[in-house]
Amino acid sequence: MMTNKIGFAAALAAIVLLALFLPPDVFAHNVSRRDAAFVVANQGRAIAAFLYLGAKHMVTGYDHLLFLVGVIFFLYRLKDVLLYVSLFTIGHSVTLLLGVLGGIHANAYIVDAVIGFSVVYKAFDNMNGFKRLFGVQPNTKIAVLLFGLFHGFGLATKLQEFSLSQNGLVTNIVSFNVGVEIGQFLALTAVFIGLSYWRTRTGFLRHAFATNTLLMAGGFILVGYQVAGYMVTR
Amino acid sequence: MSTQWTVVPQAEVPSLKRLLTATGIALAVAVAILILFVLPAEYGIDPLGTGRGLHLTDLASASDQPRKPAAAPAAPAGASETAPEVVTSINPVLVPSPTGDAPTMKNTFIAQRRPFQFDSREVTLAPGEGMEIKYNMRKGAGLTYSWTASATLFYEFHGEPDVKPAGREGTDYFESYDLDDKKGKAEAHGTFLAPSTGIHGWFWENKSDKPVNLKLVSAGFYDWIMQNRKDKHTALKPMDAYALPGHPKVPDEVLK
Repeated sequence: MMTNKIGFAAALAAIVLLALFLPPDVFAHNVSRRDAAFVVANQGRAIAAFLYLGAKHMVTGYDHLLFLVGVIFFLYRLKDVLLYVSLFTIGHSVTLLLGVLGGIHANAYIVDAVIGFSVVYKAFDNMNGFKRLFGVQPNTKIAVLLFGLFHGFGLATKLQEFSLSQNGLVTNIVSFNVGVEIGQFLALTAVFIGLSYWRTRTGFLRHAFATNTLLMAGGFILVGYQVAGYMVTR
Repeated sequence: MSTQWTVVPQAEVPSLKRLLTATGIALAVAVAILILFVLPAEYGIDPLGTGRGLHLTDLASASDQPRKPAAAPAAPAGASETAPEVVTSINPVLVPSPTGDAPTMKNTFIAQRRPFQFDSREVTLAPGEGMEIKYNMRKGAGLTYSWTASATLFYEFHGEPDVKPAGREGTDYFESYDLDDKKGKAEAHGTFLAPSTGIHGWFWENKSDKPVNLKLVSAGFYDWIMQNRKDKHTALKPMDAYALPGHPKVPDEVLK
């Protein structure tokens, strides 16, 4: 009983920490100033550097992480985790490559607001909200794929803030993308281990609803933060 | 049905009341946190005055102050390799005219190896907001600029040399060229010759309680633009003056 409470409290604290107490540069959610200088100055292929930047972006990108926590919240088997994460990966890889190579410029605030909304959506889904309201369960695989597309645009806008050298562009973007997958894998492994442990406790289902409510609140905060940013900078 | 096992059913589908209550709570908590903390700290928007009370709004303006460039855009090593410094010394000399006319300036011509860049931007500074735009220039590179604002802004035109003076290594050392933090101005125009290789530009702060619109145009020899806004340090790409639309079609207009 005691450990359930501790587990719940730990999850709570983790989400609140993610949303509020990350250092400003992480909260700003961009590639940091020094990294930016590197990206701009870089000429030609720099596989390792872009791998690292992609991985770093994902591990410190709390919005992508919150969404993935929502996605794997009720996935018990590693096989399913891999399936859903693959769908998410396909989605964001497509738009990352299309966005940067095709020069599609989406507004970063709007994209980030949609990413925040994806957290709200997934949390609501986990709360069985759609079953209750509409009597049907929307296809979770399609939803992950679609939101993956938006997350990819988010990644693209981060790279597009810099003038990327045409020299070695494809190699560098692919490296960034692979780095994103590595970072995602590392972060997800940690989350999956944590969730798996929590599930062995009896309190998991009881607290699942409340935890997803909290996840939803985190999503709403992200939406508000980005919408306000959009309005302020117009 | 394999999904029975893959997506393990949760306890139960909640009652409508429970669902709506939870969603409402999530929304209310989010709105409260946004209004109480996030908006004041991030954007200086402070409808209830909680940000001022908790000094969170300081964060919104302070975080945009010139910052320790331990992680400065210290012109990445690669940059200087690809484009070595052209100028080693700048010694303009004023030569008096023998006929008593205005003096002439010698040694003011500094050749550059690449075309100049062009930059034109417009931003709105929220009440209390501060921001920076700086150009990455090499020593001796010139800049012609104009900025105009819809209302008074406090500002400091300054530069951060890549190489700090002896004894100041690793500090946030910067050189101030023009500071107005008392009365402020709504516009400034000038030409500038970079005294050092580094980033050179402005910190503006809107100390009024209304948004202020700022327009900045410049042309000069810089590689990229550093924008420091809302705690985001972003390296921006300059515009290519040759690529401006209509460039070859400007008609000859006779000024009367």
